[in-house]
Order: sequence, then structure tokens, then C-alpha cells
Amino acid sequence: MRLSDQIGIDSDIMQKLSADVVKRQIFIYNGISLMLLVIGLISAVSATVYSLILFHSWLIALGVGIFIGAVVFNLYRLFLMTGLDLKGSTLEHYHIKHENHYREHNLYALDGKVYQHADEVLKGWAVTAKDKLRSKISINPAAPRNLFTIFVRVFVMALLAVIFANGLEILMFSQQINMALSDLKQVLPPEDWTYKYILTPDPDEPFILINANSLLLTFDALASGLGKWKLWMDIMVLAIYMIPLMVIYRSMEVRHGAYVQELALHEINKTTYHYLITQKYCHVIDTEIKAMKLQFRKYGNHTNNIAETTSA
Amino acid sequence: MTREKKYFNVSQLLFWALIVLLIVLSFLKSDLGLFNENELSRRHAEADSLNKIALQEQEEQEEEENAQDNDPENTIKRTWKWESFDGKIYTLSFSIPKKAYESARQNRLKLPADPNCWTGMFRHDRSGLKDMVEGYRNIIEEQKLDYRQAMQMVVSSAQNFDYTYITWAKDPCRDIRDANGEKPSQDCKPKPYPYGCCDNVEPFAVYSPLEYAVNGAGDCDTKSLFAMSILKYLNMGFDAEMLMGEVEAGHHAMLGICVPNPPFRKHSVRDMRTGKRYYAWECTQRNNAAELGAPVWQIFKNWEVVPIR
Repeated sequence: MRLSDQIGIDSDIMQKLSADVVKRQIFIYNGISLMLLVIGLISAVSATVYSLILFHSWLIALGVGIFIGAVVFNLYRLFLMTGLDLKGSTLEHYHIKHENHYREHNLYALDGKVYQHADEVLKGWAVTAKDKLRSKISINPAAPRNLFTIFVRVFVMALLAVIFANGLEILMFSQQINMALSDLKQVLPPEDWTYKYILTPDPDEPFILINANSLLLTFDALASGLGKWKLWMDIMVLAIYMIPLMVIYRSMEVRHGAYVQELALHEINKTTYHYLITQKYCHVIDTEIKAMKLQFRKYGNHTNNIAETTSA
Repeated sequence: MTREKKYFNVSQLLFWALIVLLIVLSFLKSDLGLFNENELSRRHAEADSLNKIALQEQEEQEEEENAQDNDPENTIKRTWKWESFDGKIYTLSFSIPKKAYESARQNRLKLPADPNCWTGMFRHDRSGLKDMVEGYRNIIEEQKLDYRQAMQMVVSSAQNFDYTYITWAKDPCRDIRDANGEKPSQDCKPKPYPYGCCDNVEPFAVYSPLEYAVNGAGDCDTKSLFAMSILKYLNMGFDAEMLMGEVEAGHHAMLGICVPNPPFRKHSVRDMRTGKRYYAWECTQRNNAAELGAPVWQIFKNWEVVPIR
């Protein structure tokens, strides 16, 4: 199983492309898949850290971490795969309205004849039409995109990135945060609320990872300890989360790449084939119904029956 | 490599480089000194009541000492009369124990030669200025001033005395020249142009608020520190801090106030520790009213808030 299969890439549809092109496309989607897996892993680790501070239980934390990691991975996969569209490609004209394809490749003319041919022949016609369509592909790299959908995706992922960056930083600097919290505990009087309820563990629930019961105090310790470095660390994690989206929207090899065009051709081909099959079986079933010589009764309170002559 | 291929390859390289950098940072974090473990406790001490308890103890101790100095012969009496921005004339009579004045001078000499000395002066002079602060409070209550009028009244009193150069050994009066190339007068007292000049005011060329109350001689930081201290002692519910930075005349200090809906917005400085924005108010210029927008300086750069606690 290829890595690219993890994000829903069907490499079988690229059979008609040259080996070099296929190799490069698979390399790209393998790379993107790996990036998404790493992002899912970062999210899972970060969610585990948050859960450890909240619940003080490895079991719950790991469960939450795996769940959140899987959600982020699938959400990102959804964002990426639905971001692959045909804006700027001539295929868009045929993909959004298949009738254009049928008309241009004379498939309407076959409407009354398709029943005479085997399914394999119809499949051949659909494939031929697809090949003709492939030869018409041209790309306009400057074609405009829907900025709103791009903004929504970037905004959601950026928000998640900033949230998970904090968890990752807490893990990275957990020892230092604990030292800062220990210093704070020393300057607080024992009757202080923070001392009693935030910095002192319950006898039944010892601290794990961070010696505090409060996420906010942990954030405070992290932000005050890191100072300006916090911003740089956040930007680094933000960049990690943004790179796959940037690749999808900016790389010509992906945005107008062979896989996207072949995927569109594959979908058009499937629809064309099923259109022809539908025409054929419509004709066959129509002929069979007519051969039955059905006699419809006038009154609705009786069910239709086959005429006596037929049943006799 | 074509440009098309380059984009993906560079992006991928960047992605993995960032991942590697994160991993390396997580191992080298201690060596690189990215994290300051003491910062949380320091910020907490600044913001929390613990610090205030320490201040209160100091204040009580000083009050005990000053109680012994109630003899009129041992006090310095002063009467200030000035016109505020709204045209009102205010009069303030106050007394300061001679011992407190001497103590303020001795305290100043022990402080560090940097802006941290302002905190030392502010803390020390609180009890010595008690009578003066009471005087300001009486004016506010008698005249029924709102917080903005009270703020204007205090700042206008600090602005009222003529500017006096305050210098230290590093930069003596004889080397001072004003914008017109004029030498200041060698008198260490407020006087009309050419202004007076005070030599050897160590360690940071600034008089403490109590010394300013007695002598009236001050330049930018002395006047700003005095106004800020009185505003803080009055505890009127808004923040005042010292601001430090550069203007076209060189290094400068101004009073910073943090109030909702400030009456002027010409220059402001954000305190990165607390997120509060302090509006800069020039204290060396008489009649520099807040509502006028204080358009004194065209260049205003590298300004920071110096928290006084």
C-alpha cells in the first residue's frame, strides 16, 4: 500500500501517462501524505498534553489524543482533496456539465443504436471519447480561484495550528515550566488559593508532565518563560501546518497536475459509460415492456394485470 | 529542475527542515537559554499583593520614624501656587520633615545609576510626602474634581516650576548648551531663561520626588517622576508610569498615563508585560495640557515603559 493511498489517491487512473509523470505524481502525493500524517501526529501529541493537564490520566489522554489526531488528519485530508479542482483547465467545461462532452463527441447520435452493442463496446466508445478529450486539455495558470474557500481553509488550519503549537511547546519545555511553577510555589504563602488548588496535586491524582492543575497558568508560565521566542515557535508550527495547503494552491504540479486532470477524465469517462449503458438498457427494457402487451384498467381500485391473452 | 518542480521540492524541504528544527530545539532548549524560569515568579511578584504587603511594611516603619519629627522646627514648609489648564488657581501648603528630606537625599545616593533608581525613590519618599499628598487630596475633595481634572491639577503643579538642568559628574553644567547654544545659569534653582543647572546629582542625574517638592528644581525625569509618584500615591484608580525613550533633543523621560478614553493620543507606548497602553505627557512644558494633544516632539522612537512598583 502506497502512502498516497492514505489521503485517497487512486494511482490506477494514471495508467495512460508516461512512467516518469506517474512516478513524479506519486512522489508528490506520497510527500503530501507524509506531511499530513506528521501534522496528525503533532495534533495527537498536543491533544494528549492538554488532556494530561486536565485529566491526569494517561489512558484518557491517549484516547483523546488519538481521536483528535485522527480528526485533524481527516479534516486536513478533506480540505486538500476538495481543494483539487479544475479551475484554469479546459476540462472544467466538460466536468461541470457532461452534456458538453456528449455533444462534442457525438454520443447523442448513438442514442438509438447503443442497444445493438455489447457493454464492452460501449466502454470502448467512452474511453475513445475520453482520449479525445485528453488531447484537448490546455491550462491557464492565471485562472482566478475562489478566495473565500481558500480563506476558510487557511483560517481553520491556522487556528488549529496555533492551538496545537501551545501543546507542543508545553511538551518541549515541560521541565522548564515545572521549574518556573516550583519557583512560583515557593513565593506563594501556603494558604494562597493558587498554592492550594492549582499547584498542589490531589492525593489520588498525582501530576503528570506539568505540575499544575491549570491550563491557563501553564500557558502563562510558557508565555512568560519563552518571551519573544514564543512567537517564533508559534510561527514555526503555523508554517508546518500551512505548507500542505500552500502546495495544493500554489504548486502547478499539483493544482494543474496530471493526477487532477486524469481524475477528472476518469470521472467523465465513468459517467459517459454509465450514460451509454443507461441508454442501452432503457431501450432493452422499453422493448420488453412493449412485448408484454400490458393492458391498463380504467379504475384505480384494481391492480394492473397482464392481459388474459398473454397469461393464457 | 523546472520552476514547477522547484515549488513542491522547496516546500517539502522547508517542511522537513522545520520539523528537524523543532526536534533540535527540544533537545537544545536548555543550552540555548530560550526559556527564562524566573520570569513567571517575577511577574507574579510585580502584579500580586505580596509586593504591596512589602511596601506597606516599609511605609509603616517610615511612619513610625517620622512621628518623632513632628516638631515644627524640624520641618520644611512650602506653599505652591499655580494655574491649572482650565485657568483655576490652586494653592497647596505642605510641610516635609527635615529628616525625611535628608533621608531622601541619602537614599538617592545609594540607588543604582539606571532607571531602576526611580522605583527606589518612589518607594522611599511615600511617607515624607504624606502631608503634600493629603494637600492634593483635600484640593480634589474641596473642588470636587473628577479624575481627569485631578490628573490635570497634579501634572500642572509639576510643570509650574521653570525647567532646571539636572546633571551628574559625567556631564557637568559647564558642558551643557541649549538648542540656541546658550549656557545655563550655574544656579541650582528654577528660574526663567537661561535656566538654572544643578551639578553632580548622582547617581542618575535625577532628584527624588521629595527633593523636587522642597527645591522645585527639575528636568524631564525629575518632574515626570514627581507627577507619577503623586498620582500613584493618590491612588485614583488609573495607572501612571515612567516612560523613557528618544526625541529630537536626545534621551528623554515623560509621564505615562493609562486611562480609558485618554484625552490625548499623540504619542503612546505599550507595556509588553501587561499589554497596557500608556499615553505620554510632557511634564517640562508649562501649560502642556492633556487636551492639547501634547504636540511637543516630532521624533518619538525607542520608547519603553519603566514600571515603578
